[in-house]
This record gives sequence, C-alpha cells and structure tokens, in this order.
Amino acid sequence: MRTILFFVVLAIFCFPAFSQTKISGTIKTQAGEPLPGANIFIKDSYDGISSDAEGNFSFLTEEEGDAVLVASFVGFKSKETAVSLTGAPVVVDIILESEAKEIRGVVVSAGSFEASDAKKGVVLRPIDIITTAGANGDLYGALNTLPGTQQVGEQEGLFVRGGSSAETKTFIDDLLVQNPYFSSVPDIPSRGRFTPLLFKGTIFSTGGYSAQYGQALSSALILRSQDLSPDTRSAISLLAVGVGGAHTHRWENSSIVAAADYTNLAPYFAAVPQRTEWDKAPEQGSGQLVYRNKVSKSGMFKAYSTFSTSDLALFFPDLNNLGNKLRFALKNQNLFFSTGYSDIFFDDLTFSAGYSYSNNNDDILYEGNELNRDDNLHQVKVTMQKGITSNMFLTFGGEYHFLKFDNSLSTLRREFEENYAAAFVETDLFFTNDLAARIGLRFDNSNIIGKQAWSPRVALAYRLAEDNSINFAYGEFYQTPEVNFLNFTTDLNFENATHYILNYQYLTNRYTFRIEGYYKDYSSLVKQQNNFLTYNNEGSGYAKGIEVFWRDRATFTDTDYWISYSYLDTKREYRNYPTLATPTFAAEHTLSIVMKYFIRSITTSFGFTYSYATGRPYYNPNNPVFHGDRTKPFQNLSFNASYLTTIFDKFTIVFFSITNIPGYENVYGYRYSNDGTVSQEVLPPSLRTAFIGLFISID
Amino acid sequence: MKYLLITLIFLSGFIYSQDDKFNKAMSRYVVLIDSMGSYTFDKRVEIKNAVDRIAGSEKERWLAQYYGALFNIVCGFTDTTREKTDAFLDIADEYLKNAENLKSQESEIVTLQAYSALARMVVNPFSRWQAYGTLFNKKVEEALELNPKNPRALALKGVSLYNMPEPMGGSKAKGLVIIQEAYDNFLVEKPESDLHPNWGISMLNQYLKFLNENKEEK
Repeated sequence: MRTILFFVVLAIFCFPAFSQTKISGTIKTQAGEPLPGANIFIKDSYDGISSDAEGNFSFLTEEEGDAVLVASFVGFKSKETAVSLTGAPVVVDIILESEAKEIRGVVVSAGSFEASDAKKGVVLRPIDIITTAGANGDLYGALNTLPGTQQVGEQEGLFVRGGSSAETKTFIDDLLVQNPYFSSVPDIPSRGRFTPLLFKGTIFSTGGYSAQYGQALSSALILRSQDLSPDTRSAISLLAVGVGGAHTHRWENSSIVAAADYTNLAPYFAAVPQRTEWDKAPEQGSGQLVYRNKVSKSGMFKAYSTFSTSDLALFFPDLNNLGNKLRFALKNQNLFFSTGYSDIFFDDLTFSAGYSYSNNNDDILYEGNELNRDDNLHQVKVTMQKGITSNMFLTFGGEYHFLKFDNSLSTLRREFEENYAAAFVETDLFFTNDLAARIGLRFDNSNIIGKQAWSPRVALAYRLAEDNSINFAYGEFYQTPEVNFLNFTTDLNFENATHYILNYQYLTNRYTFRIEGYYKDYSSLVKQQNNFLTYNNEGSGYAKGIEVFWRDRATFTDTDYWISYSYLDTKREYRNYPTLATPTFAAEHTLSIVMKYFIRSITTSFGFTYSYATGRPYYNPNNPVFHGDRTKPFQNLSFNASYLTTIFDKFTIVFFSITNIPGYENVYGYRYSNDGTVSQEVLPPSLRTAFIGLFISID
Repeated sequence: MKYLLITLIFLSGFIYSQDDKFNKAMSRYVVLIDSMGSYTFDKRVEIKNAVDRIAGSEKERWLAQYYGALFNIVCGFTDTTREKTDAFLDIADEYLKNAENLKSQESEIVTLQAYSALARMVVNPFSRWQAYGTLFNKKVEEALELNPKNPRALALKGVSLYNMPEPMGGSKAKGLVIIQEAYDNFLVEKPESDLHPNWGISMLNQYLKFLNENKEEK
C-alpha cells in the first residue's frame, strides 16, 4: 500500500510538467494586412510557430505559469505580450509596427526631401548624390535635380520656389554655415565647400521646416555629419585638375580623418579653350581634420575643422568702353571649425550642444580698387528633446550668434557687429497612428536692427494607407537683411515669408511619388528707395506652384531613375525693382530627369541627367517693361561613368563626366552698357565641361 | 534503498537533459542547410524562424548562435526583392557578435562574417563594393588563416573569385582551382560532432561540371 502511494505521489510530482497550453491567434500589420511567416514563440523556450498565409497561428507549449509571448517579423518591431499558461487555451491577436516608420505610424514630411544611409524608404542616399551626372560630385548640384529648385547656371546656390540663393541656408549638425560655397566671381558659379561623403544624412526642405531652424526665408538644407569612421584606411585621388589625399584612423571608440587637396585649373584651361579670359586660372588648396569620440554608450563628441584658400583673376569686357577689359582678382581664405556633443540622459532626454567658429576673407582687386570683406561668426546652439507622454514629445532649445563684419573699399571702412539670439519650442503629437502634428514656435532677436519676431510653425500628416499620406504645413519665416544693406542702414526690420504647403506622397523602398502645391507670401522685403542709398522694408511678393516627383528603383534591373517637374509663378517688388516683376532666377517650368544604370559584368555605372527650363527674365534697359524679356529655354544633357576596378590590388574608381553633350547654346542672361546701346550674353565659361579622375583606396 | 533506486531511474528518464534537447532540436534543421535552395522562400523563413527560437533561448551555446546567423544569412541572400536582405543580415550579425564572444578565433564564425558581408554586397555591388567587398576578402583570409582547410571558407572564396568581374580581380580559372580545393576538403571533412559545421558542398554544385571539364582537358 505504501508502495502504491509512493508511486502516486511521484507521478503527481513529475507529470504536471506535461500539461499543455494551446496558444492561437492572428498577426497583422497596422494596416490590417495579415503577416504570413512571422515568428510567434514563448520567450526563452523552443515553443512556437510561424504564422500561415492568412496570418493565423496555433501551437502547444509545455511551459507553465507567467510567460512572455514574442511576435517577430523581419522589418517590423518585435512585440512582447504577457500570457498566463495554465492549460486553458490562450487567444492573442497581434499587430506589428513596421520599423521603417520611425515614430508611430506617420512622419511629417511636407516640403522636405530626406537622404540617409540608415533610414528606409528615403528619397536619396549619399551615394546617389555623388553619382548624379552633371553634379560633378557637388552636393548642391545634385539637389538641383529635385523639384522646387531652379537651373541658374551663372550663380551657385539653391534657388528654391521663387526665393533667391540667399534665402536658402545650410546647417551642419544644426549649426548655421555662413559660407557654404567657395567664393565666386560674377557669372561663374562655385561649388559647395563640403563633400557629400562627410554626411550620413541630408534633409533638403523646400519649405515649412521646423522651428529649430531660422534665418532662412525659403529653404533649409540640414546635414548630419558621419559618426565614427568604420575602419582605418587611406585614399588618394588623382584628378585631371589636381590631387588629394586622406587618411582615416580608427580606434575602438574614436577616429580621426586628415585630408588635404589641391586643384589648379590652369592645365585644363590650356587644353580646353574657355570663353572666359582668365588671367590666373583658379587655384585652390584645402585641409581638413575630423575627430570623433564615442565617449559612452550614448555620448558622441565630434570636432570638425577645415581651412581653404583660393586665388584667381579674370578679365571682363568693358561694355561702356569697347575694346577695354576690366580685371577682377579674388583671393579667399576660409576657416570653419565646429564641435558638438550629444548624449541621452534619464533614458529619454536627448541633449545636443554645439559651438562653431567661421572666418571668411575675400580680398578683391577690381580695376585698381581694393575691396576686402571679412566676416567672423561665433555660434552656440543647445537642443533638447524629451518624451512627455507616449503620444507626445517636446523639442526645445536656443542659439546665439555673434557676427562681426569688416568691409573696406580702398580707404572707406565699415565695421559692425551683430548679436543674434533665438529660442524655439516644438511639440510632436501623435493623435492616432495615422494622424500626427508638429507645432512649433520660434523667437528671433536681432541686435543690429533692434527687432524681434515670433514665428509659429505647424505641420500635419495624415496617413491614408500603409504607404500613402497627405501632409500640410504652415509657417512664418524671418531673416535678417543681408550685409549689403546693413552696410548702408541698420534701420530695417526682418524680411518675412509665410508658407502654405499641401502634398500627397506615396513612398516605398521601390517607388516614390509625390505631388506638392504651395503658396508663399513675401512681405517686409528690403526695398531700395529712389535715392540710391536708402532702404526700407516696403518690398513684397509671392510665389506659388506645383511640383511632381517620381522615382523608380525597381522596374528595370540595376536601374534607378527619377523625374522632377516644377511649375513656378512668382513676382516680387524688392531691392532695386521699380515694380512687381518676376526675378531673374525664376523659370516658369523646370524639368529634370536623372537616370543611373549599373552593368555588373563590366563593373561600371553610367548616369545621365537631362534638364530643361523655360526662359528666365532679364533686365533690358531698352524695354519699357521691367524684366519684360525672356532668355531662350535652357537645356542640358550630362553623362558620367564610374568604373570600379583594382590597381595593384587596391580598390579604385575611375570617374569620367561631361556636361552638355549635345552642345546646347545656353544663354543665362544679358548684360548692358550704362547707355543701353551695347549688350552681351551671359554664357557658361565653356560650352562643355569634362572631368576625369582616379580614386584609390588603400586599406 | 529500493525506493531511492526506483526514484533515480524515474528521474533520469524524466529530467530531459538540456544538451539532448538542444542537439535533437537543432540537428533537425542543420541537416536541411544544403537543401535550402529547393524550398520556397516562405518555407525557408519558416525554417529560419524555428532556428531563431532555439538560438534565442540558447544564448550560451556558440553553435546555436552560429546557426541562428547562418539561417538568417541564407534568407537574406535569397530574398530576391532585396528589400529585407539588410534586416536579415542585421540579425545575423547580432548572432555572430554573440558567437564570437562565446568562442573567439573560430574559423567557422569568421567564415559566416564573410558570408554576411558578401550577402550585403550583392544588394548593390556598385555602391557597396568598397565597404563590403573589402570586408568579405578580409574575413575570408582571416578564416583561412585560422583553418586553412575550412572547406566553407574555401568555397566562398572560390565561388566569389569565379563570379567576380575580371576588372575587380576576379578570374574563372583561379576560382576553379580554389573550388577544387574546397571540394576535396569537403570530401574528407570530419566534423567534431553531428552539430558542428559540415554544410556547404551544395555551394559548389553548379561548378562541379567545370571541374570535370578541367580534368578531362588535362
């Protein structure tokens, strides 16, 4: 009897481990589509199953008590659900969120184009910028293939939605860059100072941007610098016009990049005849030092410095005295230094602080007159971000700029200082998974003009379906008048633009489609009075338009293409305009088609960019209608090829590009003599530009 | 005493050894590796999910982490849409990091690091060659330094050399020499246990006929 009892006790003791619980349910996406092939299992056990074609799952587990049910699917965030395993069937319905949508369901995107290596479904990646034909590796050149920009061949910069290039500002790690382009001479555009490879992410906003950014009426280009360099390596570039070298050293938690380059266009100009008469072909040298230190798990310290110097001289024909030539010489020195620290405190307080210093000096010699422009900018900015509830987070911070300008013309000298301060607060709200809002307010204070401004900004995003959304943005934007005007008077107010933007967007990893309409109201623009040297803020204007963007990476193998179309209607009365008129930098219709094709067997990538823009207005003193004339339409077809190979076992890229293959005779505008009897076309410095280079990477 | 003995017999039967459990569960999937190509993609994901479940609860076994990585790499490699390749490989790399911490200087783990880099490169050879092509070469050499006879490292090296365009240093002839070497090593390989890496000969299937042609020519 005792023996039997013993076995009964033993059996009771041992067998409960074999009671089973049935777990079943369905798994779906947020849009309600079933997810087949998801992995559903009890955490830290082997028990689980994959969901079937309808997203259903059902399995038995021998685990007991409180357990965690995990559902995971590649490309989606895993979800954990607490379950109690007692033997009674458990039914769980699971919804997984896609990882691509970073925060909740929908991302506010009115007005902006984003390029990033990390995020999925972005419009452009850094490599796309480098390989865009016609851009010659210039960040701004590549952005000029996106909707909202103008093809302005005689000047550098981004002319966005009826705005001048001075209305677009570049920010690196949230700090304003005072001189993002190399100094240029009239009618010849220069390149951007910063190579696209420095940045892990690019946001190009053509309007309605966040309250974190100020001093830009039309557009903000927001660049995020790379983190730690991945490995130690060296690189050499040999170009037809110069040489460059870089060395990167990577330690466990820090990295240093040291780079230098030198270009001289004299040999190229000797080989390829130029229309411009150069006295001294552009010669340029620069050096860079980049330091990164990952100080803790979430803390990152960055320092970046670059110094460059350039020298050039050329002749312009003197339209007032035919046969005579005017000499223009420019020497430039530029220093840019920035440092920043970012970290996360108390789990969810994101903190970043940055300081930058820049100095730019242009020494110009024009017909015996010496003109010197020197500007210094010290800048600090602090930004913090904090989650308030699960549906809301707050971003706030402030910035301070100290600018010093020192301009001299022969013996005349004008020196002034500006203290500019700004504060901003912004909240991101997620009402539902499909409806989000960003509401912000910015305060600007400029000492030199003694004025303040409040800028409210609002953006809304509504998701119609998984990849479709409608976005709206409204905002007030203020900018301190340019230095040219402050030289004459400081009795001015901020210039102002009000943006209204509405768009529809379809975005997947393979296709992007976007149509966007906008209206922009300009007021308080600086206007020249009849008297030559007096200015006030009585200028105004508007811009409105519709833009379409289509990108397809999937239809053709190894082929990627995008098409941008912009319609623009803009007029303004500002500066020295006697009446409301379309500015010289605005074309009514602009089209860009970019195509890239990679042929694997010969490891070569080919790129084509075609651009077309209707004629732009120019000033003709003989026409009673101000800006009544239009140039002929602009066309360009550029080509580039990159051949990947190895030379002495070193990874090498051979790069070739040529602009304007068909030889379109583009005219950017006309210049007139003072009496209006003599005119001259403003032309590109040469009909075509070719570029050849060799980049060698050494491990 | 009699009861105690009976109790022990009972318990030894019921207390299922964790080693046996792991070996039994994992070996069901390990034998499938070389025939993964014959399944549909959905089926491959289903098998990978089962391996993920085992690897997820066996974080102290390097072989569990190793196979977790391998099945994710196979899924990443064979995702013809390329949309989730990187996501699979992110998971694989995470497993490989764990595996490396459990067993450093292991030729098999380094081989998978190379395999993962290769899979990433294939997504967009033009933009990724510099980063992942270089990493692949480095890791294959590292794996062969640790074990010059590792047939999987040899197979990856040979097959990639065979398929690489000539301007990039590829060569069909040189590739075949290494494929031959890999094949010979596969035939004599004696894994430490049933669970130790022994897969990979299927990578050479489509090249075997070239090997025979080579021999006939000789």
